[in-house]
Amino acid sequence: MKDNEIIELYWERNEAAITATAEKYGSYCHTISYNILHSNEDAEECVNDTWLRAWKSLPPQRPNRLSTYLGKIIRNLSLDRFKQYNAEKRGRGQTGLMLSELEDCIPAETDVEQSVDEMVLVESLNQFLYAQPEQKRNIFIRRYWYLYPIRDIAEAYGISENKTTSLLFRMRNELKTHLEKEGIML
Amino acid sequence: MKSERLAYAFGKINDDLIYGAVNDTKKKYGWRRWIAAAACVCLVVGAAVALWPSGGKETVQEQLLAAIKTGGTMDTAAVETTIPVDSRIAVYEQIYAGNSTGIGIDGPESPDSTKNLQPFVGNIYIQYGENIWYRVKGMDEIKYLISEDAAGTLRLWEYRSFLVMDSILAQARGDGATDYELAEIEGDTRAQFPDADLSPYTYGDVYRIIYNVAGADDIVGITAAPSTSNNTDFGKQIQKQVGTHTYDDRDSVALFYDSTVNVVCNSAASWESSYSEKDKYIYSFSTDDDDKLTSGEETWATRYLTITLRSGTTIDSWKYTALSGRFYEFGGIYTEPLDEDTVYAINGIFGIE
Repeated sequence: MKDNEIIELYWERNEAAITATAEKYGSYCHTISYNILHSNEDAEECVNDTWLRAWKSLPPQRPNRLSTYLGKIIRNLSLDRFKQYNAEKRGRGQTGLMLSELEDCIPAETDVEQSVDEMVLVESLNQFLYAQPEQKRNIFIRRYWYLYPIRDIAEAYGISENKTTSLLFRMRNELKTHLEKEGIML
Repeated sequence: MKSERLAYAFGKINDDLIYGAVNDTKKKYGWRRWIAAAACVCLVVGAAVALWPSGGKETVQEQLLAAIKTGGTMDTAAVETTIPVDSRIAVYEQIYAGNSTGIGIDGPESPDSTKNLQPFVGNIYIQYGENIWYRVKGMDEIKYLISEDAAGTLRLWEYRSFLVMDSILAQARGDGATDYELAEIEGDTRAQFPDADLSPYTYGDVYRIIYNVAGADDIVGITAAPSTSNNTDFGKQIQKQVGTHTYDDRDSVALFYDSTVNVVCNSAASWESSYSEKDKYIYSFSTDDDDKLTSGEETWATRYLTITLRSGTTIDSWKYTALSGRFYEFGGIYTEPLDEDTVYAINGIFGIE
């Protein structure tokens, strides 16, 4: 079923919308959540919460791309859950790694700036990503948006894990420089 | 935490960036996965089968799955690899004990997986790339294989499909590859597997090569369960109505075997038609509009199959849909549609009216 047909079902308040969404995007959403939480049960719960959020937000929303609309919801829900587990000292795996890698991108502190509004930060991230060559950009997003393990990324692009790791390392440094140039404080 | 703030902000980047990041490799790099997965010389060492007298009631498959399940629930790692099997190139997917308690135990590479698999290492099946591939001790079929890397880590793999050139090209074409790219993909794939048979295969080939099934007599029975994709109350009600049934009378088994042995798997036609809305509902049981099936009708017309073999090993990757009159497997492997008589015969076995 096409995205706009599924969205139409939501707007008609037809419960078949959920089934259609689950069929088309169930595994996509599950993967995103699983990459963050490393637990099928937790991922399953986040997937169900995502359908509920979608049901509550469509209408009034009418997203252009249903996959990323759902993807953003489940990524947030899963990170929230990860944070909660982490506070309970239960967190490890890719997400912890991802967060420690992202430390590299944080601009050095100065006395002057105030931490920026999230919108400004997101816009700056967009700019940084659009300025990258396509493959590098996609590898970066696979790692930090989808939280794919390095091994999976390397395999998808037919490059070695070492090359992937060093490419990501260089890009993190570039992002840090970019944010500093823009005067962005976190 | 600042990195957390960055991680959340990263979640809000533009949709086209997010979408583009996972929709690029199919087009440009998908074929490389096969090439990368199989970059070495292969050497068949031996394939003698050690028979393991089955003392208890549990089959080898059950013992194997129970042993690796100790860490949690069963899961697939979404990692695939290719190895030469018979005259073909088989795709296997890694499976492991997923983590039921939550975060922290990375299943596929945990030390437990090597320890738990150790008792099941049988004879060497093939030495390929940097891995040694073992049969599962006591299992005649090669549904499962165990790999050992240079560091001694053991991994369990399950058969998925055979590589088919037409299908690889049809997928690339569907993803918008140019003629030049198609020629490149074809050339690289051929160069990687110069002697392999990459033509479409029948399920009879899978029966024979992977499962040692030579005829209906090797099949004990077929269990059909309702599709679980619709979990609304309505869907559950239909699932209950359909129920799970085992068909072990010889006529049904023979009819099933005869209907499946010549069915063509994973060809370009099967791949392309699996994406055609028209073909999806060719045998629609819908009362009114063909294109708009209710989710209940879809549940009604779909069965998840488990084929039990004499040895106790099962073929559990197959699903049957009466809507388009064909079988499909995990990983999006569709068979070509069956002819009308066969569709009605199989519907007869499973009581799909």
